[in-house]
Amino acid sequence: MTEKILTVSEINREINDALKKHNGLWNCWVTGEISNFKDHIPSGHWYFTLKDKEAGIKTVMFKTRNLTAGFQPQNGMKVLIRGSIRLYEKDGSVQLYAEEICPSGLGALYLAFEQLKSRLAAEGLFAAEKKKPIPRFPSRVAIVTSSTGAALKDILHIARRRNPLVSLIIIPSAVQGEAAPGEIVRAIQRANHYGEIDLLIVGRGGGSLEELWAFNTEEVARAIAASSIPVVSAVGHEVDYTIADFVADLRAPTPSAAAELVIPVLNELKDGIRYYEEKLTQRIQNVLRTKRHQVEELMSNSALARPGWRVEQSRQNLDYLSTRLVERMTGFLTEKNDILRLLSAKIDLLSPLNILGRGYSLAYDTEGKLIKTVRQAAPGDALSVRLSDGTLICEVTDTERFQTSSDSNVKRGLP
Amino acid sequence: MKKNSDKEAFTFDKGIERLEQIINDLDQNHVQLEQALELFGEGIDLIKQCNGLLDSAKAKVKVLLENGKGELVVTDQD
Repeated sequence: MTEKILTVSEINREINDALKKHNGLWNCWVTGEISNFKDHIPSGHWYFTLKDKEAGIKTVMFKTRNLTAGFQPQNGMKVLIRGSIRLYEKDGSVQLYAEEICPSGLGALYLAFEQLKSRLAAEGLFAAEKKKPIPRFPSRVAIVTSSTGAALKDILHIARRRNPLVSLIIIPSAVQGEAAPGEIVRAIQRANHYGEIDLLIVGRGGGSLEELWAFNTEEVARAIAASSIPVVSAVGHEVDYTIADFVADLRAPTPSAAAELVIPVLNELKDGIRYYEEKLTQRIQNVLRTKRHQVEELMSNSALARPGWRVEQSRQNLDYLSTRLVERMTGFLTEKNDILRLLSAKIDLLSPLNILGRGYSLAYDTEGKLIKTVRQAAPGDALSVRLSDGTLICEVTDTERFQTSSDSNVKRGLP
Repeated sequence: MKKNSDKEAFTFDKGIERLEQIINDLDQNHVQLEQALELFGEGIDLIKQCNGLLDSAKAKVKVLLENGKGELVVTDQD
């Protein structure tokens, strides 16, 4: 095979491609000691050489990455770095580009912590819906911790002070060292087996990451998750986060804080009951007032309010009817009266007396007989002549007889 | 695992929970008078019981251990 001649750029590109293909180099964890540390100003990037006894590798950690490192590296410090191996093509040097950095020693533990944490999180062990509610008023609280530790003393002291009525059950367990995880697991199981426990505090006082390590083990995490009693984790100081904290139903920042969080203050409970008593009394009074009001309203609205109401109502009805009766009767009579008046007027028109009013008169003889013909009277007879307003006493001086009806025409022609 | 503890043992927790419910029920306008009086009576009773729990003798600190045979042993501390 003929040798191909490459340019520097080409060979560098080849090297870089080869690095990229190697998965273990593209994303890897490297441990070593820092030397030649330079915090480059103004870029803020970190440059150093990571080395062990025999070898070294140039390392870069860009500002965007090192901002979250949480500590300042120093020469001689052992660290664990996650990053990728890439070629810096400008000078052909292979470098470690750091993504994450943490002090070593702790490094291995840190790595294990992160891995376990993401594995358990993926399994859903930390899910909010898995958290059991913490009883508000636990009467029996069990404490899984070292029987000789400061944590227990703190918890007992605070619990007594807050509420001497809460039973405390100590379940002794080693909390550091080889045996600790197993003992903690058994203590949690023992509490669940015992049964009459409302709440479980699992924890210990502050210590180094190694000392707290039992609370970062999978077996302890799984025991906490499996507990049917709600678990409060209380490990170390406020800044210490352990796997136990994530899986517990409640994380207390410290053992003392755990006691403060879960043990209700007796006096506050008593106040609480007084409060409920007041509320209860107030509510029943409200109910009674409402009911009484309803009754009053009913009474004022109905016949119940005035027993005589129905009678009065009837009386009013009666009054109305009788008034109408009188009115109707009067109307009836008035009507009849009018008819009567009309008729009597008609009769009046027919009355002879009325005719007299128009100038006619009636003549009577002395016996009172109506004179209808001249033949009934003779000269010298006394007649009484009735006019409309009186009577004339007259004497007949003569009689003139008209022609009979047959000679009425003659008579007419007479004047 | 909690078959016995679940069964009707009066606890402070349950007492308070029921009290809250009673007070809530009494707040409803449509509550019947007889029911209201009954609830009130129950509430007063619960308050007595809760107070009783708070007035009861001091609880002790106990230690739960496992003996050689794997049995659970409770001993008083101090």
